[in-house]
Amino acid sequence: MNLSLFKSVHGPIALVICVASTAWLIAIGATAGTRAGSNPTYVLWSGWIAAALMLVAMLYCARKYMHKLKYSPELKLKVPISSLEASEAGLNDVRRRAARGDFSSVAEVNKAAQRVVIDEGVSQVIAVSTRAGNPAAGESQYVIEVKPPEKFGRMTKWLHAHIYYGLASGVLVWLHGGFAMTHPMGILLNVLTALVIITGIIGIFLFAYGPSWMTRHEKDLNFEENFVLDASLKDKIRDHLVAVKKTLPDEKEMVAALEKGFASGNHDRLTTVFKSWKDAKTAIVDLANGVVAAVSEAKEEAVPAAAFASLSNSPVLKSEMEKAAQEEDPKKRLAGVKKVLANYTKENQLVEDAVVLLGQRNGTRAGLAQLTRIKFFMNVWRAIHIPASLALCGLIVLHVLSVWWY
Amino acid sequence: MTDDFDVLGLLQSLPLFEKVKPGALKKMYVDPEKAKPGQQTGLQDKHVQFIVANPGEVIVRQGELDTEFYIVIEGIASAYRSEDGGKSTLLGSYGQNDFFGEMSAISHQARSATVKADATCTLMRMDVTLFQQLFGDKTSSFAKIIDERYRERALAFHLMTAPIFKETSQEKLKLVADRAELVSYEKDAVITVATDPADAVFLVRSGIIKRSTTGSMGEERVHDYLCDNSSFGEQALAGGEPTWGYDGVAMSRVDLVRMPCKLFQEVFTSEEDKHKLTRQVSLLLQEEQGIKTSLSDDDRNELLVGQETIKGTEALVIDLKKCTRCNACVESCVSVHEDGIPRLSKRGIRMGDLTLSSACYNCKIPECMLSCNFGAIRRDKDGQIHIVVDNCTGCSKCESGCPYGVIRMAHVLTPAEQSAQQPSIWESIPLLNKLIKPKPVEVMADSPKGKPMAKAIKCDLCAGLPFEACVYNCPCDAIARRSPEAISGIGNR
Repeated sequence: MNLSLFKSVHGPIALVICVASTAWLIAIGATAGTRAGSNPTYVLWSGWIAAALMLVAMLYCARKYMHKLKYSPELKLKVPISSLEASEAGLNDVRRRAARGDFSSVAEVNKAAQRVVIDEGVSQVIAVSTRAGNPAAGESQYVIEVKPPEKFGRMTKWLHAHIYYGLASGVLVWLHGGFAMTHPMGILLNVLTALVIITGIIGIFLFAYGPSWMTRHEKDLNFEENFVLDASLKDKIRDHLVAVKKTLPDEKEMVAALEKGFASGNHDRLTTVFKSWKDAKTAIVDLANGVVAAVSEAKEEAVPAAAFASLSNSPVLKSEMEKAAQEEDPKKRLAGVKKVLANYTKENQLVEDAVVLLGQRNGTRAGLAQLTRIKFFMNVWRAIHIPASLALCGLIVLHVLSVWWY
Repeated sequence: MTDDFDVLGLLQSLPLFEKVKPGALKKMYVDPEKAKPGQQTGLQDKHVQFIVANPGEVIVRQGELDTEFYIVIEGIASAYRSEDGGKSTLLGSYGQNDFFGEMSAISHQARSATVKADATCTLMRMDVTLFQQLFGDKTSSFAKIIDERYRERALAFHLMTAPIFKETSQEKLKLVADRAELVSYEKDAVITVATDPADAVFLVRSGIIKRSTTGSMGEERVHDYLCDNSSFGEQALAGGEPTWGYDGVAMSRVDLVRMPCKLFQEVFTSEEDKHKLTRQVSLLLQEEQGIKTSLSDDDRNELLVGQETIKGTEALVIDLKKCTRCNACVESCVSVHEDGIPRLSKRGIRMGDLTLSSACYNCKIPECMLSCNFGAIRRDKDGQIHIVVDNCTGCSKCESGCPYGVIRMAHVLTPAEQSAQQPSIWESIPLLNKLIKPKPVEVMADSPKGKPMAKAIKCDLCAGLPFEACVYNCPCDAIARRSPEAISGIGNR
């Protein structure tokens, strides 16, 4: 479980806002949302606070998309690498001077370090701080630390603000309107707020528990690696299919089954076709093997041509066996049969490999499908949360304008 | 330096280049009359540049991690070493035809001294790729002079880093330096065999050695990787008839200082010296036994060592129990790179619930930089590895050289292609973008064969920006940079 989603200073702040607003409501003796018992000041302020909290919650989305669309102001702060290197050299110089005893306090070292980053024009991308070192732990007397300033705060903090102020805005909306269902606008606002808050809470728990759930199902390969494996198996099968097609030019049924299996991933159907194909071939191969064994024991000339001719009665391998059996020279006849058998072994292996690969890909795709389902389930709440939030924003603007107007 | 300066004449006049193969000289200077069509003629500034340093200017600074090699063409420069107490010691001066920076170029370690120009200096600066090629040819005058100078100037200092010489005087170290052998092994060469008698102590100048034993099932069990300044073979001095006890294999080209047992008998003659040496050897062997035990007990450590993670300085770690697979890290990586190609890949070494993503580890010994023949990979003074895209020829040697699969080959887009690929605001809106068919991007041909050329790309740690995009934009706090030691609790010896 990702507990870091809940560890934030924004939580207590949001709680204080909710408690203070509730205390104020109780203190003035008003009832949440009822027009009769309402206090105009309270209604106005609770409304503005709720709107402000929603705005803060929405800033997370704005921040996220600004970066994604390259409109983030921080991207404009970029400095050349040569300036960074110059500042690193300057800071190393300050460190050496500090080790030499040129400074008498942390503040002095820090001032010199700050001067370096300002002079090199990199202060917007480097935050320098100095602390007293611990010589016993192998540190220098003064330790200059360099970090990226991350001026606008990490997205994690923005998500915390989104979660907590979003939840607080729900409480404020309730205090402001009391879920009064007396007017179409009120109904819509209340329903949408509830929808946004409930889907948001579902989202929080899915984001907290979902990763562990997904990791358990990923086993050794993560989501991305599964995709890569799937693509690699797909390429391998394609190469294999080309080889199979070359080896089985006349075996249309088997090639078609492989192609179909490749396209649809229907491994069971393919296994059945492969089995019947193999069974049919095995019969003639057994017969051919018998002939070969007989030939090996007796002299080649002693085996009558009729024995070879019987091989050509089988529907499979017919043309090749016919050709071999019709050969007049006994040695060539035997060599022909052996060649057909060798070819069969090769093609049999190729088809078998293709079926195995398809089976592997089926396994990967089944795993991927499961992971995709989990991922879908982890994100499906957003399909309601986001449109409902956008609609709510529009309605809030309308609500504010209408109150202003009337 | 003026444009009509006779670079070739100068190079040929330098003792260092007296007996180097003509091919090596061509890496520095291509005669316009002998150049192939399309080849850059004159000075090959990918590998070699001439620079001028004004009086007092710092040329290399102690502690920094750049690896260039310098030859003084004109002027005088001096080397100073700062000690812990802030005291600065003059180590020596360099005049015409002298050189410095070879230690860092060989070992890739931080500069051991600061070199300042005493008067206006003209220097020839050579990148580490070319330096390694020249130094690798042990029959050349270049390697011989560097080795001679190393023995003369630096070996005694280098020996001080070996734990067995902790209590040894400077005079004795000088004697050891004079008698020690400088040996080299090519990649995959066997340096020690477990059952062979141990007959020498080794100090690693450069390269990586893998020490392993064979387990009961015949499997290889990696003990550790020894990098620069590591020593091994101390058991040879422990008395009796010790064997190596492990197989030592060179993982890259390795330069070693070999000190046979006989050398110790010749140099450490007094009882006091022998006692000090024996004490250090026994302490070291006890310590080594401790390392072996802890490694064999810890699968995670073995995985890290086996994957050579120990060579890196920092890893990008994804906590899979926090990662919602939202892809914000990759999308943010795309946003900060003008060519629109993400440097981050979420594939990598899996350690339980952690993935050590294939983002650059900024290795102490950057294999990618050493395998690049075109000066397209360089390490800055702070140890960060950068790809110089303009120098990249797309040979992909760095891709195969990187032990972590961090470097990938990708078609880096031209500005025209970038603007064509930039999605419109409508294409960026979820759902709506499914309805809009993006314009096909016409990829320009920039290779001599008229095909699009793939160039090496890798994580640049968002250099120049005030954040690391993937870490900064992860909403679930699932991604962070950690040192391998912090993950595993182990470190280099």
